[in-house]
Amino acid sequence: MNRASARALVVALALESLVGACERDRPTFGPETRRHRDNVLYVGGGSEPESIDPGKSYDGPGIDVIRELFEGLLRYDPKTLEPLPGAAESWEVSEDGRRYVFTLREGLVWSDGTPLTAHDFEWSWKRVLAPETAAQYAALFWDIEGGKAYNLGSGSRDDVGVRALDDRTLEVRLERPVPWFLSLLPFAPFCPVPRHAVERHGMAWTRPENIVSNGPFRLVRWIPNYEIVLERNPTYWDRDDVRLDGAVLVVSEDTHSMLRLFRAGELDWLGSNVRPPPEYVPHLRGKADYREDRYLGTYFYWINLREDRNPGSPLKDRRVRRALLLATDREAIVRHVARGGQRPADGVVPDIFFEMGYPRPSPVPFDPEEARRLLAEAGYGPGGKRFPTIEILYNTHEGHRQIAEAIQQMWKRHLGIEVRIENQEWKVFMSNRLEGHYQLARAGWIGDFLDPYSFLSQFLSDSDANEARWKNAEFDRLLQLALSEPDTRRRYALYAQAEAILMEELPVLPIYYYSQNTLIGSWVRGFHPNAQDIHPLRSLWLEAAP
Amino acid sequence: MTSTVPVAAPELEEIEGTSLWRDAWRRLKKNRMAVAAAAVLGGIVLFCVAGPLFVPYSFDEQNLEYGARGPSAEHWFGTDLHGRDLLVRTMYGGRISLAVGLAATLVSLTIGVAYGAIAGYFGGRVDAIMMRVVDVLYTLPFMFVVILFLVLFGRSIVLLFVALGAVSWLTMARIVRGQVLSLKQSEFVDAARAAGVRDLAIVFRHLVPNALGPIVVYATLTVPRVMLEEAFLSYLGLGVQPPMASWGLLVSDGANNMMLHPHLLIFPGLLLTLTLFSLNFLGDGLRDALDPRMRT
Repeated sequence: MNRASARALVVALALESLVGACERDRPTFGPETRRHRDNVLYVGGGSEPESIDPGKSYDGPGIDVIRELFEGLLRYDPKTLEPLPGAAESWEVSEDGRRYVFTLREGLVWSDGTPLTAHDFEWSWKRVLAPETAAQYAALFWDIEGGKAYNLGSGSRDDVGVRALDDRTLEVRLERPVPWFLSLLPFAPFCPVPRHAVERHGMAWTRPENIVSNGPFRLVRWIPNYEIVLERNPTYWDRDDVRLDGAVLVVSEDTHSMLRLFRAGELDWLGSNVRPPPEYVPHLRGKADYREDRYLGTYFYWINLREDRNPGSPLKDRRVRRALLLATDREAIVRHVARGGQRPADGVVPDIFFEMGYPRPSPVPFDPEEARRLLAEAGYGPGGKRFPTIEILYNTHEGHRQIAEAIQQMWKRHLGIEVRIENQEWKVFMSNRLEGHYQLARAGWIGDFLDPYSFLSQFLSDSDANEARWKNAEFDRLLQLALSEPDTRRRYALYAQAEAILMEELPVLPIYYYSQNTLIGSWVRGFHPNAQDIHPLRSLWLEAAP
Repeated sequence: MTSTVPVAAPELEEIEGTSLWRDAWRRLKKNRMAVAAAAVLGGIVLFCVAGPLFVPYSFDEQNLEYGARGPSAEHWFGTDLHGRDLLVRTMYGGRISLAVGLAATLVSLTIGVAYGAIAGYFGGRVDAIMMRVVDVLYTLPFMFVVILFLVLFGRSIVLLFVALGAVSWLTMARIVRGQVLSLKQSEFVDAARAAGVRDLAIVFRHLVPNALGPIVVYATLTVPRVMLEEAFLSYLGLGVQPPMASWGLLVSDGANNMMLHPHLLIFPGLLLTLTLFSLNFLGDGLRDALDPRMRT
């Protein structure tokens, strides 16, 4: 994204936080002063990280740990998330925007004292692309020359456009100019991994006793389903700017118990992977330690359109999908069920982009009358075919269940459709979703970078993330066109056209735009709300800590 | 309480055959706690089965704007987070929980008693083999077995009864076997054998009724356990599915919200506790009534 729009966003977010911070003497939910006496931040970590290998991790909790342990060429600005120099101290971009040359800092070392060089980056990036790594985020590297071919097994490793020119110089060549390329670099898969440790320990290299890292913190202890303990990394180049001695991430999926821990003063911050349970939000609003901001994500239901699945399902009829959306009172869901300050979604590109100049999609009304008409037109309802029972699949979670139950009732009341709702444990749920064993499935998409492409690219006909297997040539064409459009406004206009097609065809039912709400003690300083809810611990500090 | 039975010798003219069951019934009626418990239990069953007829709401009718509110004249138990009437949901939940508890216990009772009694009575190699099978089954994580069962054969309420019952008979089998082992040395067994009664008839006519005490006690303990297991399965998505609810689910929902909406926990919790207490008292009374060795 460009600087102007980033600034507009910062101002907007800052204004919101001003409203939140004007009264200092409001009551707090947790204790008024800190209970812990050490200079260690206690944070809710959410569920157990699947992996803390930068090349392989794909879950929120894992990526949050990686951000503290590893540092890429660039790092996040804690306020704007714009890229700041990290392991690289400077870089040059060629005229055509296709060649980047990064210069690494002098004297960089891994936490075990081994020198960190540009060769480490080259090796790490190619490792993510290697087909045998099966990295979830490999597609982010496809814009690098030869990257897609190597990743999909048709190209060779040596043709990938990443090359260490010497120990401190890394050259990256892209297939085409990618406007947001630099903003990807702080992200986990672009972080270096220690080749010597990976080759010695194999899969076990991320264990606390084996791990070697280069970020502001290092891993001291990891007790599964209990806690992850980090301490300041004494070999980090900017160690003097890291103000915390360390951090303890309390691992638990139980949001209610996390809430109690915060209330008891055991946690300084709920963390970005733990949200207060929705039913508590009305009670938390107005408390001095509660905050609510917009978040770069969209909550929606996939509708399975695969030809080989659910033959004869009424959901394959576009009118039926439109009817379901019209009969879903998203306003009521947001106000009375989700209750965390979410906004009803009229598309998949979140409303944070609207301030940055992205055209608002046309609003989708709540219109049961029209929904019934469309359903009758499709041949269902009174006098027509009987509508078969349909099923909503979601991953086991209170909040998802409450939303599914509300929708179940809405469709029954307004359309007379019977809905079965079924929950599954996360891993089972994901494998069923990816293999297409579902009719409707709950999903949430959080942006990986600040460009609508992050939200729209999953609907490309050949994308693996396109779980509906929806195919639309015009959509693909518009997105391709947008990619080669360097002007932000014009690019946004193309995206908006593509999104309009998506909302015509509805392989998804958008429900709401996410918000990020959290509890954080007033003694935690340096905390800035931002679109992706990314808060590097190195820029946080504790008031009155020893 | 057995001492209250008069010890005076019965008048000879009035000798009337009295069966084990009639005897037990007479003694149960004298146990005030047990009678009260039975009455409460009956009341709860009636409440759950007939109650919904008298409540003008359905268990799945939502009123999102109304939301969760405490008890009022319209909603005696208040409403849940989706604005559904908690009274009628508690009634429906009770139907499920009671049915699951009773049905699964019955399944476990049937398998466990027959298995344990046969192993105990025949003894020797039969006993050794049968009990080793039990030992092996014990080592299986039983929740895993239930889950496997439900995944393999599809989900339905009936299957849930069977699956839960099928994994909770092991302890029952051990208890019955122990009882039968000690009872089969008794004179009445020798007498029956001498009279030419067949083995299986001895087991089920003479031994099992004598072991009823521990069986009944254990069965009353199984009911609440199965109810809680059902709640756990529902949470995993294998038990009752929304918008249906069972007491276990209502209670676990209520526990999550007890800070803000205590009524969501209090009402279903109260009924669940009342049911479990009543079952325990009734079981206690039944044991006293059925144990022939307490006869005076």
